[in-house]
Amino acid sequence: MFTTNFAPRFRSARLRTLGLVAAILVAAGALQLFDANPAASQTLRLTAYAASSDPGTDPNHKAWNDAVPVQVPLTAQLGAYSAGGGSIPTVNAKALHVDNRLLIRVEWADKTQDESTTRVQDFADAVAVEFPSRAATSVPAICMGQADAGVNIWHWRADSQKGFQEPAQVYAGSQVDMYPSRDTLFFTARAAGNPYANPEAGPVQTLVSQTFGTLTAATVQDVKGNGVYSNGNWAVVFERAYTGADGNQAAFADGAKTDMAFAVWNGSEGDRNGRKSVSQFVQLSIMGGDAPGAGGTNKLTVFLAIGLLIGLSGLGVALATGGSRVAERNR
Amino acid sequence: MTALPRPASSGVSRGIVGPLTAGLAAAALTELLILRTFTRTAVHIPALEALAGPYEVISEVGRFAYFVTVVLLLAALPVLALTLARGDARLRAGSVAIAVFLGGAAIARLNGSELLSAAAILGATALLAGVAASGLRRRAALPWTVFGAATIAAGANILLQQPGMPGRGDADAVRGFLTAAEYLGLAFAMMTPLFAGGLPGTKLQAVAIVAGAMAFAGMLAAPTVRILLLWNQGFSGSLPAAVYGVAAAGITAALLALWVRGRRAECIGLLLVAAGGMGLQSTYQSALVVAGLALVASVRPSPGVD
Repeated sequence: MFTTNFAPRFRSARLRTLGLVAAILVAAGALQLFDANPAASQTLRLTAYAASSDPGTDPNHKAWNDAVPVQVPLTAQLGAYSAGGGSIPTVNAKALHVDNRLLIRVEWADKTQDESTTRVQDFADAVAVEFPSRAATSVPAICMGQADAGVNIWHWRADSQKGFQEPAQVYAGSQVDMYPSRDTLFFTARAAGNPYANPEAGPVQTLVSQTFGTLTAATVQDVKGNGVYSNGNWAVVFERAYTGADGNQAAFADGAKTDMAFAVWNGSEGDRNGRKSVSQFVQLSIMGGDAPGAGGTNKLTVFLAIGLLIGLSGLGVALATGGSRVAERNR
Repeated sequence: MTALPRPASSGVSRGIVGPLTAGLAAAALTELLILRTFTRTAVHIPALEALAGPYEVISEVGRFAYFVTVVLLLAALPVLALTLARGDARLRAGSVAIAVFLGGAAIARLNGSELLSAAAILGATALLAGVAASGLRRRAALPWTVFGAATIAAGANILLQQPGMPGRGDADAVRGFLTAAEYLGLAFAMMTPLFAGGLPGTKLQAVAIVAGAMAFAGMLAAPTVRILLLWNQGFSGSLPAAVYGVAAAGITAALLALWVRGRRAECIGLLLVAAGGMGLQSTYQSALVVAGLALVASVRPSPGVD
């Protein structure tokens, strides 16, 4: 008798549970299928507003005064191996857009202006920004990307911008034999297309990568750049059209969002290759509107946010301390 | 240290909250292990292209676990809010905190004010940490108070970058808060055995020591571990490796102690907090933390018991 009453109820409860589990799995599958993610990133956001005038690659152009800066923390390179670096703690990043071109300005404090790599023991100051490639299906690994999500890197170097230095400028009293021919073939690195032997190609290389060991120069070099050193600070501007040459390169558009990361090399600290200061990914948001100005925001929002934070966390502290006292008394 | 058993939750482990949060913890751990750990580590395998097929299948499984966790969070948070709303005034404050969190997450998803969203999520998390601490004696409450402070310090990095904020763009202040968050977050992990009512038995202590030793060795030998710690839990990994080893041992000991003492809901709560990490990463990770804190808060403590 008992089993005849119990069994249907048990079966019903089990069916309900199975139905609930199935509903959860179907809902999750639907979200995955349509790539409808209800969650949102909360990392730092760098917003590129429309520039009031075209600043070109001039880091000191007045248009940058209206851009909204963010301080991006950097750490030493801690990728697959510990390469060191970390002497630059933060960069100040700004972004603007004009005529379907994206401009990124990166500024950081560096006591020394390292522009020469003529001596083997010298290394140049440099900065790079990294974006997911257009073909990336997910956020790539920050360390040179991954198989299904490549990265596009724009790399500016102070020595490439400075150009070649005569050896006599570096080694006083040195004598250099004259080459009998100025033909490019006698300059093997230049003839082979080594960008560091071709400073006329510009100070910025655009690179693509899909994991360690695959970093290579992009077939089309279309990123412009310019760096200015003054008062112990480097300020470098990168500029590129929204549309990249191919799917390996980043693509931008008004209203688009993507991820970007920063890396800085401090030449006087021996930074080169993997030895550098790097950031996490921050979010780059390209807004259609004009820049609100460095301090521009809705004051009511600021008051509301500060009030909310102080009010809620204050209540939390009061509950934690008061509640614990009550618990002690009830002991 | 007194190691009195704390009774299992009243009402929490029964009904829908128990299975829902247990499923949530299982899905979140699966997601953490596959999506946030394996796929980010596997990219370091040389010649990964040859393994692209299996890698993509495992990645998809990890993404599915992520979406299952999202669905469970969307179900669990309102249920936890309703559970807390039925309690006393302190628990009702927790219910309000969940509502504020959901509002903040919605603002973030709809590309609203980043400042308002960050303030709402940080404030709600800090309030829930206070609610979780409020029913406990001072020693047991200490880890949650420290966690609340760590949350605010870690999130200050984002808050101080917002237009109009006082002291905006002060690089020293940003780094100062991040450093404070690192110390506070590690202190929380080390202190969690206080919440659990003391260390577990000798055998389980050995398990915790092994976990700590593995974390120490990983931090020392494989810098990828530091990157994972940064991405998954919000720690910069800038302090000596031994500190992270002790923190890992501490939180493992606390989880084991809670489990063997029958405090399953609190164990799951602590697990969710650990899976979510510290500060502002994504509303998904913040939701894990909020669910974990709400679960800890929803357990009615017995007077006189740690």
